[in-house]
Amino acid sequence: MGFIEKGLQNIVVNNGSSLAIVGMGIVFFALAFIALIIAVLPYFLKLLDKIVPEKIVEPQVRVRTSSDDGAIIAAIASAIYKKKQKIG
Amino acid sequence: MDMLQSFLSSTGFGMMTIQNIIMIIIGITFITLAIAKHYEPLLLLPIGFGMIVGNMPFAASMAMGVYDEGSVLSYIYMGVSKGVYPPIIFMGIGAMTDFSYMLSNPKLILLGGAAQIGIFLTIVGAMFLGFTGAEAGAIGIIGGADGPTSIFLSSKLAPHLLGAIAIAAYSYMALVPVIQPPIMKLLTTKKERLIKMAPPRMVSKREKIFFPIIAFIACALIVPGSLTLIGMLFFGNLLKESFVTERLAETARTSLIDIITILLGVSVGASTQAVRMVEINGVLVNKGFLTPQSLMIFALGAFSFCIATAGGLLFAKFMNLFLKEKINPLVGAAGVSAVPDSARVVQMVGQSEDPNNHLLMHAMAPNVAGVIGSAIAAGILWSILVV
Repeated sequence: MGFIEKGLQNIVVNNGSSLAIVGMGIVFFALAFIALIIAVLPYFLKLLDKIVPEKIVEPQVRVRTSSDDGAIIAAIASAIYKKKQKIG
Repeated sequence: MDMLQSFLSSTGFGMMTIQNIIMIIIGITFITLAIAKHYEPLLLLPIGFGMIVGNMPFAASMAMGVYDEGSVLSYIYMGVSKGVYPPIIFMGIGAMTDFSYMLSNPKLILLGGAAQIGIFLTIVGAMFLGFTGAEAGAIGIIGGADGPTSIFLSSKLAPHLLGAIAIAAYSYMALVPVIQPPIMKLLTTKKERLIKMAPPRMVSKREKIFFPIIAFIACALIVPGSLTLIGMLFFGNLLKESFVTERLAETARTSLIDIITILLGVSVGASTQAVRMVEINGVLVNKGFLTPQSLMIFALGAFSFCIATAGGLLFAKFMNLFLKEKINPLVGAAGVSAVPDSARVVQMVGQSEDPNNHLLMHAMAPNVAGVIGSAIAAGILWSILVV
């Protein structure tokens, strides 16, 4: 059996062509479904806005909550100052 | 004297083979490309160094390699072989991805679907070359241009080909700026490349929050096999868009994804031992990296990538037959999911024709749709071929 025949037979045995068609079809269907959801989403949200208006939420800003920050900075500054004095 | 002779024969110099030297040179080439050419340095550098590590010869009794049970490298590699790292990378990608361009123009999602044709045609090609169904599925996914997805699927379908598939996938991802432009220019006219697209609409915060939840449910119901990858992708995105878990999103898109990338890169690289003899049914078979199979995987990967690029482009042209507001077909090339490199290439090619044409934001839509599409394709292949 030639190389080409062998290859074609392997495709048939493993259902290659149907796998490709069905697989591609499902990928397309899933993405088209998502596209449809996205297209409909703004209309759904408009309805929702009437019932529960959207609040504007600002992104969280990292704020140092430790009350000791000032004390720590002062301690570090003092240590650096003392070290510099020693070196000097 | 005997002791000295025995020591000398146990050194790397004594055991080094020509195949090891070839692999070490390939590893050095990867490192050079990463440093000198900036081709995907975050991946090529760890992979390149891993290749050198993996091809350093050592006595069999020392059990130090990726495939030696109990070795440190084998524990790191477990994240690859068990498919743990790819979903975590997907979470990081989700936490850094802005889906608003896709949400503002949903028809561009179809381009991300069209580009997946590279995967399925390559599967047929791989079967033609004699690979089994599962092996062909794992090879085909290279066309998705998505390293984590390729690793995830090959760990499930063809673990023995994982090294070659991962290296091929990441190499082609790195070569996006080299491979795609000629195909883009070949398949489009100058007039088409000059098409300007309307700016995307503003997307509300609520849309961005609802999208990952609804899209995940839809994908997981249609293709349950995509649950792990898609789930982590959309979870990461929800962390980002909810605005209430900024710390988690920040960790997912920075430290965590970086740690996993390092572990994945080095261990995938180290898995490319040039020659690895494995006993199968009493016969010693070479399951190493330097085999004709690996060369075929590289050739099929290149084919897959080119077809995927062409698929997206040609589908954009097809859509233009029916659309009032035309799509610049270059945008279709971003349907392969190498985020954001292929979108950048679209911008670059578009601007080489008209410096005032900004296609990046439009290209991001099929680009992220491509990520979803390739994860769905992986889910389909896993559910069909693993049985």
